[in-house]
Amino acid sequence: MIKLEQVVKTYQMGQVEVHALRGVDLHIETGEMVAIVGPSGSGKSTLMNILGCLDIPTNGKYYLDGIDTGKLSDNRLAEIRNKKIGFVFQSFNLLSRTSAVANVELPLLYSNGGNRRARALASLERVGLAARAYHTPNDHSGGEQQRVAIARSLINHPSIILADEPTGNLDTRTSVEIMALFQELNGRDGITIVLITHESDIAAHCRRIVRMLDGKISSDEPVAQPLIAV
Amino acid sequence: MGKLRLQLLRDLAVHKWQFGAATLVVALGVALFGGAYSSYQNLKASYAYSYQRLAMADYWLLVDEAPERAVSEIGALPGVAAAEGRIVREVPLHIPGSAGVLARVISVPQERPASAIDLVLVEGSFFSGPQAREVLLERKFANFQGFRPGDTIHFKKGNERIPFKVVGVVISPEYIWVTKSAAEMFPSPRAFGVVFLPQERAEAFFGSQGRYNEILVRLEPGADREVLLAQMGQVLRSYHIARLSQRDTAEVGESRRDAIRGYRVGEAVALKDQPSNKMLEMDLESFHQLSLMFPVMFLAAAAMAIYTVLSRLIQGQRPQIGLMVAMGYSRGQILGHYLGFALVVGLLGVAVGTGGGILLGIYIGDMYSGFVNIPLRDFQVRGDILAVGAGAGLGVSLLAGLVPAWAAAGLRPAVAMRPSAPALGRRPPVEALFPFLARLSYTWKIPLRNIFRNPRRSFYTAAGVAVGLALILSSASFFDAFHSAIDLEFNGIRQYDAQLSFAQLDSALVSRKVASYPGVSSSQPLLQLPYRVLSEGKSKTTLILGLPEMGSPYRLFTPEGKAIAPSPEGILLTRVLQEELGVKVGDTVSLQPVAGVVGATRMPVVGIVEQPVGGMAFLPLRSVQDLMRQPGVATGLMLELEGHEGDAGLRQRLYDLPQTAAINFMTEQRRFLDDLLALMWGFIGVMLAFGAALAAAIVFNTIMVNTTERRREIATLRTIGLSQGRIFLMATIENLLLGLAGIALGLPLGYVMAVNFMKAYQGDLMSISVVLLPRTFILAAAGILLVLLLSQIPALRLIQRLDLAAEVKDWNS
Repeated sequence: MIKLEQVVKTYQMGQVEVHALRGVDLHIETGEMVAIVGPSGSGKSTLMNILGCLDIPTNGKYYLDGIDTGKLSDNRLAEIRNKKIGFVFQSFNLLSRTSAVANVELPLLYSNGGNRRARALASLERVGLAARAYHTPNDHSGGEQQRVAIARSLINHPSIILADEPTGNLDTRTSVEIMALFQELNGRDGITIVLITHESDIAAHCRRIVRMLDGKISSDEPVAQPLIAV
Repeated sequence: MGKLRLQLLRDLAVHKWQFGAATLVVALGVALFGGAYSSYQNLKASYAYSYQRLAMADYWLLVDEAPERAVSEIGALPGVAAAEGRIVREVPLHIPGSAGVLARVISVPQERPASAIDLVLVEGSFFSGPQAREVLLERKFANFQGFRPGDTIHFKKGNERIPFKVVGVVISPEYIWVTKSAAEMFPSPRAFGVVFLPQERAEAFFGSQGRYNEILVRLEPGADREVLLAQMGQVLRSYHIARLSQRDTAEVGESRRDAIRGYRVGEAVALKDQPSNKMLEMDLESFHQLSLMFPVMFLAAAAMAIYTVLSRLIQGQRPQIGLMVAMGYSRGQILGHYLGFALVVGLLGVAVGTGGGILLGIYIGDMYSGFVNIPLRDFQVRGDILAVGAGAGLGVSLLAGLVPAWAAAGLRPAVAMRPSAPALGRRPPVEALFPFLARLSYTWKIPLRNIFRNPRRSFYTAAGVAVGLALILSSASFFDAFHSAIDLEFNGIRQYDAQLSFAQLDSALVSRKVASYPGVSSSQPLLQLPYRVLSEGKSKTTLILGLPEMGSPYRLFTPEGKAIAPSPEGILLTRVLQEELGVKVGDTVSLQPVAGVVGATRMPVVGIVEQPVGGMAFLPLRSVQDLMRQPGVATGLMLELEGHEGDAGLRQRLYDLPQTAAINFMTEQRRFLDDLLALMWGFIGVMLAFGAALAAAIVFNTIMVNTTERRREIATLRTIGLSQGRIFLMATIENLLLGLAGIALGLPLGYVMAVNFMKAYQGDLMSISVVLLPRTFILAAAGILLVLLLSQIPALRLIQRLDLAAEVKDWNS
């Protein structure tokens, strides 16, 4: 499903060249739940951006479902993000004055018909927030906001959810709740989940941990007994 | 360099386009004020200077005939600086290949400078002697006809052609705007010109040695005009001129009785009523309006631009402000820092605007010099006006900056460093009002919500578009109004192709003869006489037109647009004349012939006629003939010709008629007026550029602020899969909706401005209705929308260049 071959990403910061990724090979199969961990500056966010088609490699190849994303236009990449990938951000990125259900509906801009609202409500139902569908983000707790964001990521039935520090702004209890939700989506619905985190106890909920260091994968190991969030 | 100053420069560099746009609006306002108001003052000063240096008359005493002694006696009155008698007559000129020109011949004394109304020589020389067979030509006429010193012109006297040598080309303060009379404000130099003759030669030519029909009077400063008018009247009375009437005097009743008794009555025309001066005053007034009204609007828009950009900057820098306060910067320093932005914008705007104002002033001055005959120019860079403009520009900038800067200085550190509270989610009231809006797709819903969630900014954008549009519309209305007036005159009123003017009263039977000429479709006689129309203490010298009762090609229309025919039951007045005299249908007016005493009468007003230029009165031809006790006479013919202008043979045949003084072709007259109007394109071009620049600057600013503010929201939308095209579409929808709101506001605003602007052209000389043609509105609105679409390009490029990964990650940073 996800295949990176010798991916290099170099940024020019003024006079200095920053080598964010230095030849990364990574293969993630459908239905996996992978945590990418590493210290600041290790390249995990850059890797996430490339996986999410928000950025393209300087060198190397990234195949998503067999498609070479490096050859796609901006709009085609946007389409892929819309159809195949669900994003969950650390700071939720919800439209502040828009109700939960309306936020969830946003990725449905291209879909026709009047079942948008029903689909958005169903999506909120999946994350346990149907009862608060018409509240706006400032009426929701942090955990609820993240659930809305997850519901939004689910609305187009993506095959992958990319979560960038999804629990970074949440307390421990809420973080576990969110991880439980991810595990449920992975286990029950078979959605591939790739999450970036610097918290090892969060990573321990995944079945595979990829460690990054200085722009390279330093280790890539399965987790023998992932933590079960309850 | 201090840290704050460095920060100021950096922030200015980062937001250079937004502050640049605000600077542009300040500069436009300052330039418009500096250029237009300086030009207004320059023109006013030039006219005053010309009048003063060239001894412009204060009064024109129009009499049938007054001897030299009467002139001397008037000149000797205490308070009279000078009195000069002159002969003013209209004489046909013979110009080969032309269909005749009517020359206003004015006698001029040999002595220079003249004690009243001196001339400025622009080419050639003055007369070689008082008896010389020489003429001076007024510049516009000479230029149009291509006469130069050394050429010869021929006066037509019966069948005689009397040659005179052109020795010079002159400008007269009396003809800065060349008019024939208040009723004929725009004579074409093809058919009318002013010619100056040496005094004694003119007396000999007209056979009126020592007798004049006009006395120019110049008063000492501070002279009591009422007393002097009475004294001048007394002098003239001793020469059989029973009464000297003046417009708006309360003695009209007596004048009328004098006229009925058969006494001669003269008329004193004050400078303020002199047609050229009046035209200039009217023009100056509209210029005055424009030079104040437009800059005020620009500066208001500039204030809004500065306020918007600076408020947004301060909002974005709240944590920095908190940090600065925490580090010990005083409130004064923070206030000064943020006021610095407004100061820089103001100073730059003022510098550019002042320079632009000087250039604009020069441009307007040049444009006007081609338009009117300014004898002596007092054009200068007016430091006082530029200083006022600069002060206003800077003051407005600082005031606009003070509000957000003050708020920044008042922020407490802990509050400032805390992220601002998330906006409350509320359904926009408009969705409650129109529930269908809630069901729209997000492509529409998001732009609509953005508009209503930032009402102040939305209003500012719409107001910017509205002001830009109003500026364009009010300038364009000038053209629409004059074009419509010209259309009414030539396509509605004058349904004939040429007006043949007789050299003097002649038999109307000539019409039948002319009608039989091949190429003439119809010919109708016309009797046109100068008359004074009086009512209730008000009087107005005008023309009475005697028209055939049936089938007149000179059509008359009521203000409601209905056709109306002259009636023997009473007189028809144009709306201009009706308003001037303050009469209504059913009132009775008195009529006094200007020349001679026969023909005075009283009659009721039976209708009002719409005519753009000139206060005139209309009667059936026969009624005027009866009044004059001269049945069967006419002063000219109205001709309908095949092909509108007839062929060369016909033109020659008409011109060769012994009665013919001049033939005025309507196509040529219209062409002249169209050309005159075309000269004003320079003015509308400036206004179009200013209006478009204003709208562009404002729209650019708000769109940039909106985009910058919502970049993360936009990045999120892009991340979750919206294409760039969709985001562009949403931004465009928002801007177009605001643009349409601006257009809706701009239309009435433009109309109100046009009404104000055109007020100057609604007086006793003309009545030009405010007209905004749908075509103009559509073009202006489309132009403004195009400007709006172009203005959003930088913001769209910003969206295109957004670093999605960085933006979505730094949501709360």
